[in-house]
Amino acid sequence: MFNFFTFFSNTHTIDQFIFFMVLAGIIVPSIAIILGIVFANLKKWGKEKRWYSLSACGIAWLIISALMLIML
Amino acid sequence: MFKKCLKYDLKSIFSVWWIGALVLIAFSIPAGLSLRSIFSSTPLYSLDYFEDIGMLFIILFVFLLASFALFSDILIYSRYYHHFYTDEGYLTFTLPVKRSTLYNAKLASAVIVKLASVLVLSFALILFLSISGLGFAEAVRELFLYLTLDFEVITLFILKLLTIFLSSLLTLFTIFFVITLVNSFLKKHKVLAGVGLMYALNIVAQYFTNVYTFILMDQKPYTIYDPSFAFQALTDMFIILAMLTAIVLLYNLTLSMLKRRLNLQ
Repeated sequence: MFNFFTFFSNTHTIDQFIFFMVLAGIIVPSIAIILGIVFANLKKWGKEKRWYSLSACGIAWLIISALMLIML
Repeated sequence: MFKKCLKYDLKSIFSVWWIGALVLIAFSIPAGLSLRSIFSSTPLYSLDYFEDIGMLFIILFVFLLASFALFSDILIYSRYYHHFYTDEGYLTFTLPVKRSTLYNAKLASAVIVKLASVLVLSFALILFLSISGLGFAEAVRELFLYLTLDFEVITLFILKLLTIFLSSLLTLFTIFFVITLVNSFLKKHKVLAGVGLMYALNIVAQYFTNVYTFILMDQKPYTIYDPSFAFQALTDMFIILAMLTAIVLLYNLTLSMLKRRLNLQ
């Protein structure tokens, strides 16, 4: 079973950072990009173009996360 | 039409808001005088009885500071709910105005009221500290000198201010989203559902904040905390973009629900 406290101990700092950055820096922004494109083209919801703003934010977020991973 | 909607929203909120603002500013003066008297070698009051009343003013002032912030938020959310989801809502949605215009007017009025509240709170605090004579003017002068010294310091300060502003905006968008969601889909127990949903969203946000703080901001020797300007700026921009994405998602979802689902009873 996943043990939150032993995983987030001082000996696994780089692993924690990569885990967090992959989850919050790559997976979540990717979901935002996909959601934005899907909803912008959904006929049932009127193909509203304002959903592309969500994809734009996701892309910017992804770029910042990539820069942080490069700096590490 | 947007300007008219905004005007009526602001008129409705400010017609009550000004009372709270006036009471807060009025209380800052006796509270400041009381604090001045407590720290002065020649107190204004010669009797202990007046010193107790002075302490009461200070405690009341601190209580009013917190209450005023909450009061102005309640006015915003109450206006949103009453204007869209009560008997008034029947009239609102029969107007020849787009739903997006109505919603954007609500958001704009909420931001204006929040900024006005911050200004009033700052003014009351400045008045209180200036009257109390605690060297407030010198502290502000030193802070100003510190901020104008370095481009990096100014940039990080602006990023931090932007983080605080977006955090407040995210709370606003979240509460509007929750009010719209529970009123669009539920017929009963709306308050309970709304409170539960807010609690769940807060737990998720707290989880990410705690993990982020633990890994990136903790200054123990084993973390990857890096005090360089580039890394600090990137971590601030990471948080800003995460909040901005959440805000855009909540905005779009709320507007979609307003356009498609109307559950007025």
